[in-house]
Amino acid sequence: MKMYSTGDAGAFDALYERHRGALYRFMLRQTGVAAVAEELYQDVWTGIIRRRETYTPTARFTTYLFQVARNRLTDHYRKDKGRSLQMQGYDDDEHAAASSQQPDQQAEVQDQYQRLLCYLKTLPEEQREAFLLRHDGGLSIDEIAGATGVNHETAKSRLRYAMNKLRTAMDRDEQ
Amino acid sequence: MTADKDRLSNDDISTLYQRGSDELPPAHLDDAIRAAARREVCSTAKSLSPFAGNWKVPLSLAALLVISSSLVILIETQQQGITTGEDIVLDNNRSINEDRVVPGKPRAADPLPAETRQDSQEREGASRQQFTEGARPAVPASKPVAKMKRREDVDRGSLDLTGIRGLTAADTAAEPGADRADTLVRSRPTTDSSVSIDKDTVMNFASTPPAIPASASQDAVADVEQYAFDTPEQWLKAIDELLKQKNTRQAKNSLEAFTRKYPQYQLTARYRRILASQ
Repeated sequence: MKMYSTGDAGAFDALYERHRGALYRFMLRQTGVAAVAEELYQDVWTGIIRRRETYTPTARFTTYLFQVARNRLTDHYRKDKGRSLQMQGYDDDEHAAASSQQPDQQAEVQDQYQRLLCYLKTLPEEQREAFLLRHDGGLSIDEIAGATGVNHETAKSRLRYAMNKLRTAMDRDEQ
Repeated sequence: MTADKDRLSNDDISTLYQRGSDELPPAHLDDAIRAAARREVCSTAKSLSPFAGNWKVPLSLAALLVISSSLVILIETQQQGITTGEDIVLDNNRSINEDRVVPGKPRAADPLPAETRQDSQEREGASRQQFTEGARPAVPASKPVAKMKRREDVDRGSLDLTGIRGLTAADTAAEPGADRADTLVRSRPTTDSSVSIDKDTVMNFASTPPAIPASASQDAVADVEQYAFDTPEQWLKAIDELLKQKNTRQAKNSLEAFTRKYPQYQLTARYRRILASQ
């Protein structure tokens, strides 16, 4: 990022390539709608490009990136609170249709993944955020705490709750 | 037990999530973001360039640079030209003298404008004052025999005094800061018993017109006087001073040196009488 801020356009390409998937998935999971996720995703990168000269590397760039993304999501929720709730809930029909279309083992994994995503949507926002920051962003507990503005124990507890709920839901499905 | 085994662990959940997470942003979004990044860098590069799109400012700066350089070079040349200017003044004096030597001959064209000559003379006067008022240059003792070739040598302090009678290299290699006059006064007596330069003589030598010691040999007087005056007129003025002081012998010696230096100079009857006197 420092190289990009000094005018190295190639440095941005490398940076973008490294983080594009993780950030996009984070936005997609958080919003639940691809179009909104794309819009917010673009906003996040545009903001980072514009603020590159004021960027001071106090932490990992990943932490900074997801902090910006989280702030953008917060703004989005604030403006459009009703719509953000549409991600919640689990569409059994959709899940069933996806399951029936994949007969082999790979299809079973895909089915499990789709169910996981559906349960992820049902998590409280803070817990889902902690889970996504951990698994998409690769942030540590401390980094999650820093990005979400809570202390270490709170972040750790949110992540633990999220994992427990997902595991319980998946186990229940298996039975 | 079987139920416990079949239960998913946290790692299973993580693995399942990571394995399935392969969604990527659409290509058009990637292109748009990358293009925006490049645009921003280009615009920054343009804004960082202080003279972007404005050729007048760099042109003005370049002109300023050229003028400054020229001024510096000119000043340096003028400073070096102090010496050159003295030479020109001396040459002018010489040509003036030549004009006087041959009456009726039209005076040669002055190679320098009057202002330049005046400036050179002022600088010469200033450098002479510097020498007499406190410049105490170290005197090198490199050459075994030397004469006072030019006034500039005196002014610069690069004069080798070992050629002056009664002085040796050890005397002239005085410690830095030693008074030039003191150095001369401390000269050891040599086999030439006729030479005896006292401090007053040296101090007078430094100022104009000098008082020439009566006991100095004719050659020594000639050596001193020959280079102590810039013009014959100054020299004659000094001789007049000697005559006023009733120092006829010394005046005569000086006049003889003068005639050796300027053999074709038309002396007045008064000076010719002195020269003819016993």
